[in-house]
Amino acid sequence: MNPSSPEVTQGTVFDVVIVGAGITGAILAKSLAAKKKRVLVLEAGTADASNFGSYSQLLDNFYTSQAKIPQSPYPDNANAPQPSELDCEQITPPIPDTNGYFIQVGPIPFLSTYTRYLGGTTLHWLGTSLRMLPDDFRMKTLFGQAEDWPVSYDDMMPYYAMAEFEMGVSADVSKQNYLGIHFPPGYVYPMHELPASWSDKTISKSLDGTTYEVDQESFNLDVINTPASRNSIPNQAYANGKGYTPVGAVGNPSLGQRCMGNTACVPICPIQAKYNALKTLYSADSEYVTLVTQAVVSKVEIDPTTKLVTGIRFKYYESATNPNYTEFVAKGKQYALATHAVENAKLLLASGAANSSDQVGRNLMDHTTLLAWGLAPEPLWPYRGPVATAGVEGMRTGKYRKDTASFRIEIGNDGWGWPTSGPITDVIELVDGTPDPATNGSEPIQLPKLWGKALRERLKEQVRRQFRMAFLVEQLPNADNRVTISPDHKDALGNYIPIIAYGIDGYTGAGFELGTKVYKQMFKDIGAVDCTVVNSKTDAGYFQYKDTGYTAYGAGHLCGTHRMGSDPKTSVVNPQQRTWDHENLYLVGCGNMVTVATSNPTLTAGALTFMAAENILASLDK
Amino acid sequence: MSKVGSMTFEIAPTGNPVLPADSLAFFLATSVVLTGFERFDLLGTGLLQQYFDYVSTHADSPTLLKLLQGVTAAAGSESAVSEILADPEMGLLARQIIKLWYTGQWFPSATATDNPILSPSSYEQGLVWNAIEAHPPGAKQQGFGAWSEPFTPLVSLTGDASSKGRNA
Repeated sequence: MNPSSPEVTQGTVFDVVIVGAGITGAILAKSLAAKKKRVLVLEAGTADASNFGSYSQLLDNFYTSQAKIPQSPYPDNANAPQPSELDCEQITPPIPDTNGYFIQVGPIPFLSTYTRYLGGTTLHWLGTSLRMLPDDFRMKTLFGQAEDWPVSYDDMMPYYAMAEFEMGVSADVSKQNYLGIHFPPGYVYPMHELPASWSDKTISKSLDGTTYEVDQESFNLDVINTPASRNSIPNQAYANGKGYTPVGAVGNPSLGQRCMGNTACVPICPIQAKYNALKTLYSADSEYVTLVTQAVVSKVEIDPTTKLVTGIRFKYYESATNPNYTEFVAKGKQYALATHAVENAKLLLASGAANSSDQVGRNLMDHTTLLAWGLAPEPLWPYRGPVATAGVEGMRTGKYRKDTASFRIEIGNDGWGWPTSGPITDVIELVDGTPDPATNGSEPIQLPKLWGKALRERLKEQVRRQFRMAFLVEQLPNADNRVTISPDHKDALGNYIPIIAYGIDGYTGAGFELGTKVYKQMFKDIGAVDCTVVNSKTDAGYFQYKDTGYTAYGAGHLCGTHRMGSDPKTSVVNPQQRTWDHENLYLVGCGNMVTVATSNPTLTAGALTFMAAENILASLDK
Repeated sequence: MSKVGSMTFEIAPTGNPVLPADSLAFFLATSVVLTGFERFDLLGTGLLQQYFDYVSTHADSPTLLKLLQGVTAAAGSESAVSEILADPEMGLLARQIIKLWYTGQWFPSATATDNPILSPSSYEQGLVWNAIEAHPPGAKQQGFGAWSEPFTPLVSLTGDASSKGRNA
């Protein structure tokens, strides 16, 4: 599907105009086109990821980036700017951090990012495709916290299956039916689970069968294989014996039929064995889908009397390096915003849309991440395989959620790459003989400067025992964690820049306190040396809870800015994911999530979007 | 014409040494000593010439020449090499060369914040990944499920015994 010129949007009323060509926009487009609805997709970014040659250039960008951050393959485009992990530093209110795209008001910088390219943030996502727990939908009822979702796990089941098919999830049902997760009889995932890493297998020898006690409730710390949207061996039993065919790279489908262990899911799978939204978009029926890229939406136009959306105003730019643009208005019968949590909220605020509840932009959530890293007593051979293949899931829910955030624990296969930028930092430390003060404390010790075989051996001995765990600690919806806009802050095309106020409350702080105790027990059981460092001076996500300092890292799980609910006074969309205020405007994506729950949210956003597609179809056929 | 060890070089009219024609071979021999990798491994990166050219244009020529001469001459003696590396100027340059081979990256100084990765290939060919028995993220993939087993090295064609294999 080649992007069309913006003129094709003129003189046509599409069945549905979709803003955003990431996973949720792509799922909507494909689902609606399958029912022969004419769809227009407007994407703010470029189509640079969509052919093999330009995708290779993105890979080269990653290779030559000095900081191998999630955004490293995807250069910023001033006409559709995006946040970067390098932007964040500690904030001293009231002075905001204006280093990057966001105006960060604090008190803690918002640490997560998204990618404004065709294909969206699935270009750099990890691929983790866990379902939410049944408990996660009922936080108010069960734990007296946050809100219940207006849909239940059972409501979501068929849509989870659709998302698992579309995204190509590899997992074995027999290991995923814990803490209330259940499947229809005979259900299997499209592909068998990815092989566990040597690191997972080694760590599980120490952890399987161990437990952690909270208030006399016992939690199991078994290491469990993580469902992932990465190609593995197809399960012949899938779809009642029809089987499943893996989807390879867009434009080069024989590539990426199996995950080859590139250890670069984040930020770029070189062979696209990991799902990205391009796969969905390019398998949509191109007779029914019109795609325009470099089309930045500035306003949702609304009839003041009927409150119906009358059009989507967008600015088309010829080149990412030139701010000249031409304006167009696209028209449809139904409209859907699929630009991810922050941009959806920004666009609604800029349009004065959907905000009778005053909830637009509020309740911004992430999984604030507690990182713990250590040295195992025996070699784990990290920096091989997918970035993570297993986790400890047994603490995702429990009675303790009445006052303490729960979490899942991801076990990385990427050594200390995340916390310390290893093994490059290991090389520098060993060659220069000076420990990096950022990783080994503030008092540098002069160590011998190594060279030759001694360097090589020491590096091997040190790095191959490295591992890290990431505790994805849930955050409650908080009205003060929010996206706003101001006429004082606009980008090169004159569109609003998101202003973000964000903090970490005591509920999440208690989750960090608990998570720290849990990781210390696990490290002890593994026989690992704890090398975790919290640097109160330099860690952007440093915060204190009960006089103890912790560092939160971003998980990239932006949720909650236009939440769904049953009450128009406290939610932005109804259970059909349609805005309460505008009969022909739907919102899709993680912004609809009522709580961030305990699973990486993309699969849930995908499932919700399949549900929304049915509702949009029903609206069209009414 | 002067001669140090087996290396010959000319003195330019300015008094600065001109890198002689066989410097590349000396750069390779010096890199073998400094990195702890064999000629086989270094040549296999395909980057010897690029690195030599880069170092030649970014390092002080007399220091580079002294380093190449000194390390090549001292190759058999760890203490003699250590003595050269203790020299502030030669030591700094030697460590820059080691880091270049290991990471594909040039570190102009201890305090520089811009430490360029010379090319996509130099990232892919970083020796750190060989040293830790892994692969550079996003390149030189080990294959489906390889991550599920301990690393098993190929038997080195040069008989290099530095990789003793699993559980070594």
